[in-house]
Amino acid sequence: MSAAPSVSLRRPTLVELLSATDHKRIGLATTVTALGFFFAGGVLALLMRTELAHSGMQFLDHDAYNQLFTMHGTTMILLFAPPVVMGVATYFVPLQLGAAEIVWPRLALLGYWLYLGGALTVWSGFLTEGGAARWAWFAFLPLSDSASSPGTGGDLWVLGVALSQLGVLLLGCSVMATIVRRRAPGMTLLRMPLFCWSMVATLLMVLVAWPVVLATMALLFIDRNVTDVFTVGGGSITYQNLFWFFAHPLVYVIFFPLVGAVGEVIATFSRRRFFGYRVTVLSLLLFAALSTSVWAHHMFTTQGVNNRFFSLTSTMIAIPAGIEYFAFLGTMWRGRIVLRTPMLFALGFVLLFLIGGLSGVFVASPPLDYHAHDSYVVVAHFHYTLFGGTVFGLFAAIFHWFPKVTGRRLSEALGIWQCALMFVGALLTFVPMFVLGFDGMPRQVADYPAFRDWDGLNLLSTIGAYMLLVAFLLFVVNVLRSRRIGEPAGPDPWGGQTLEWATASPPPRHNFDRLPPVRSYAPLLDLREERSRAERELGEAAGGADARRAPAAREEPAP
Amino acid sequence: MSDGVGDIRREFTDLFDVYWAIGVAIWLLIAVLVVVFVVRYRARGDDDAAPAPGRSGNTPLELTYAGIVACIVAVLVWLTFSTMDDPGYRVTAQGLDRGEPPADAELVDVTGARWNWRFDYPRHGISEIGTDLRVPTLTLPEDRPVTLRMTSLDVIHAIWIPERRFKQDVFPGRTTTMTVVFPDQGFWRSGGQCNQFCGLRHAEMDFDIRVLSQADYDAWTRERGR
Amino acid sequence: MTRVFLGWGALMAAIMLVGLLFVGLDDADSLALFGGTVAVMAAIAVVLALAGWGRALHGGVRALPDLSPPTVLLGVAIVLAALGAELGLWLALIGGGLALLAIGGLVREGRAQRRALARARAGARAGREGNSGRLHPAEGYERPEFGSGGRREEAR
Repeated sequence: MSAAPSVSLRRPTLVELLSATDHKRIGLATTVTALGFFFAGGVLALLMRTELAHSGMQFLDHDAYNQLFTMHGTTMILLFAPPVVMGVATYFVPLQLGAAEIVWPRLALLGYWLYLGGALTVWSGFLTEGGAARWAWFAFLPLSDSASSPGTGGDLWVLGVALSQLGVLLLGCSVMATIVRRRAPGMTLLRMPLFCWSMVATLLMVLVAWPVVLATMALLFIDRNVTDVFTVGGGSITYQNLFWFFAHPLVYVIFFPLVGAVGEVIATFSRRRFFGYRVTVLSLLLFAALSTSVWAHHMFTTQGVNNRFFSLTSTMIAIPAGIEYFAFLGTMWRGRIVLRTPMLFALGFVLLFLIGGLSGVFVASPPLDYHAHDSYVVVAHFHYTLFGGTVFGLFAAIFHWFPKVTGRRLSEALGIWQCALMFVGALLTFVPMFVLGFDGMPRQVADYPAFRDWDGLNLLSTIGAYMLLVAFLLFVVNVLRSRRIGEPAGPDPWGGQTLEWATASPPPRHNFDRLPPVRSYAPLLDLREERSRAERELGEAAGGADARRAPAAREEPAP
Repeated sequence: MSDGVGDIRREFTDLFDVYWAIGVAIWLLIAVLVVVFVVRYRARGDDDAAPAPGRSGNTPLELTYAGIVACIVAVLVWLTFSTMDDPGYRVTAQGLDRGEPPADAELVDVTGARWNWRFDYPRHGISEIGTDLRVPTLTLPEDRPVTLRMTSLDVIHAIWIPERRFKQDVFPGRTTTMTVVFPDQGFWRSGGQCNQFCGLRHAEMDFDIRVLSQADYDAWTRERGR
Repeated sequence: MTRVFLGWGALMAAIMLVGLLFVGLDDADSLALFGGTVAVMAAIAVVLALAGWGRALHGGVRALPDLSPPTVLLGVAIVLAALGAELGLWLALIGGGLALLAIGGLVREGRAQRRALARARAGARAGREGNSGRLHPAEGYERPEFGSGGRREEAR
């Protein structure tokens, strides 16, 4: 089934690397760039955690700290997460659809360059005289206007966010057009792999939310440089409505694709077809609609929005999320679970995201949110969704697909160590934050008074953060090791179920020589089942009537 | 407890206990299921790629399950809305449900400005102003509703009183309100703090809270007032 | 796929209606954002339906260049032009100039692509099979010889 590798053995020249229209090159460039920003944002977090390890100011001043948390949030949530999921999707959606290429590859390529340029623009704020922006990643007005936060760093932040998110939007348009137009023969909508469906749900949100952030950033730039825009009485509320209408779908945009990827990992490593596919697809679409209807739960304390409505929609999100969890567990039930690294990360995702999801139900209740809002409770909550969810899901996807992309395996041993360190580190870093927040520690502060007795828990959290650093360094070592001595993966190292495993690793320029027939959302599993059925029938023919007497036994796996 | 305004902290705790119990139960249930499934259904021996048997879906079961989750959600939403509908709770944040502050409430006008607080008591002619060198103190009578009418001179701030489990934002050009009752006397160092990032010294924008008996409070207002 | 956009738009409209009718959602910001979402979905569905783009495209000939340096140039030009808004007119002008250059390159690329497409169609009519086994044979994708920006691409 696999094609003979037909990639060029020659190293690509710089021009080829930078301007290739191959969706795999664009997707890989986007993913690697985004991971670079992930590490950069992580370094900022470590600087903050180091300062917070003990009460009193040790090595940062307030101004530096304010820049750090602004840039940490901006980097992680705008410059790392949306691009990384778009990068993975640009690489794998065409492969999963059995397509030779992405639709509008030039648009995707342009999107990558705008993203890179925008992200560097945001970071270049550090090089300006006044430093980078320091207004938290949501840049609420009027704190972000020219009177309260003058300086070039702020303007660069606004321009960079707009450019990078324009890039994300273009990449997203290209992926969406591919899903609409380039599905292989036989691949009806309900035979698309779960990851592709999760991208449909994601991109529906991108199509409505991202234009809003572009408009908001344009207005903010005009407000800062030309004339006041958000001045009327409700101006700051309108800004918050616009910003969160982008930024709340955003947190699901960086989560759904990993629900899809984790679903496929769980199915693959349970040797089962994904359980409850249709209901899960419907629940993803409902999930996306609710996600676009909850933005003002960030504004419960403003007295400017309808708290009941947004509390209702936010709590209802538990329904589609619950369906997905049921599908995950249903897939594992009676499976043949193989605990390889992608599966371990996927299980970490299931357990840790659940903490974020359940604490999300808690903060969706206004009377509870009046305490938790903008405290460390919220910091802990969204780190379980974004770290437990997005980052664990991303590493499940990376360990799953790395052999496909590079043709070489990662070390299982290093991967297991990384996963264990990340799991313990995530608990150690973020659980204390729930306690601290409940006890009254606000977010976005460089210091806390010594009389509060918050030192111990903060120190614990800092130790956890350094464990996470070690885990990510192990990943870097693992990648470097694999590039040098990783064993060849072959086309299908895991027993994959979807079309990307039906071609060489790495896939040739136009992805496929031949495509297997697509009769379900797991075409390769169909073939495997067909083969074992045929083998059994051959065995029956040879073994006589014994097997025929017990038809139920046919459902049992071969020992 | 004074009529007309509930004990926010108690209402928070009542609601929180339900959410907390349900959340912990669900997390434990799923964690146990994951562990049990991994142990029970782990591939034995050689990990060949032979597919496992079994159905790939069970729509009635899934819909039943979704119905159960929807019921839990309905209960939680009902509990939340009941709390918000509670007459005592409704007056805590008048901007939300257009409730009115109770007639007997003490009034304090709160002004936030980077990076300090000012408290004006219009009925007593008292002004308590924080400076760079002095953290302001919000002095309140015990067991009596106090309505804070809050506004800002520059950017958005917020007042969080963790002891009362409550906060509201403070905007420039708008007035937001919150009504709190402290049932007991006491002194809370840094008992209130700015909770909306507002720039350089946001972390230090806090105030102390002192709650006096009604008699002591009256004496204080006579002494500090005109 | 048209139905997915329409259905999702309808779902958003339903959520807005629930808010409007039962929970008193009445602020202009929220209604505008919900209304805009529904309108965008409806517009996408109409465009897909009218243009006949709602279905997957099978068959057809592809003639995409492997490299597209003008696209990269365009990206850099847009970034520079945007930075010009902050750093000065000179940078905006440089960005604009580069953008013009890039658009010129893209036009050239487009022309070469059309020529390659025509050649490929002619080849297909003449009964020539796809030029390599690497393409999607079932779908009749073909990868004709073509130039990247007019240059001839090396055979791989």
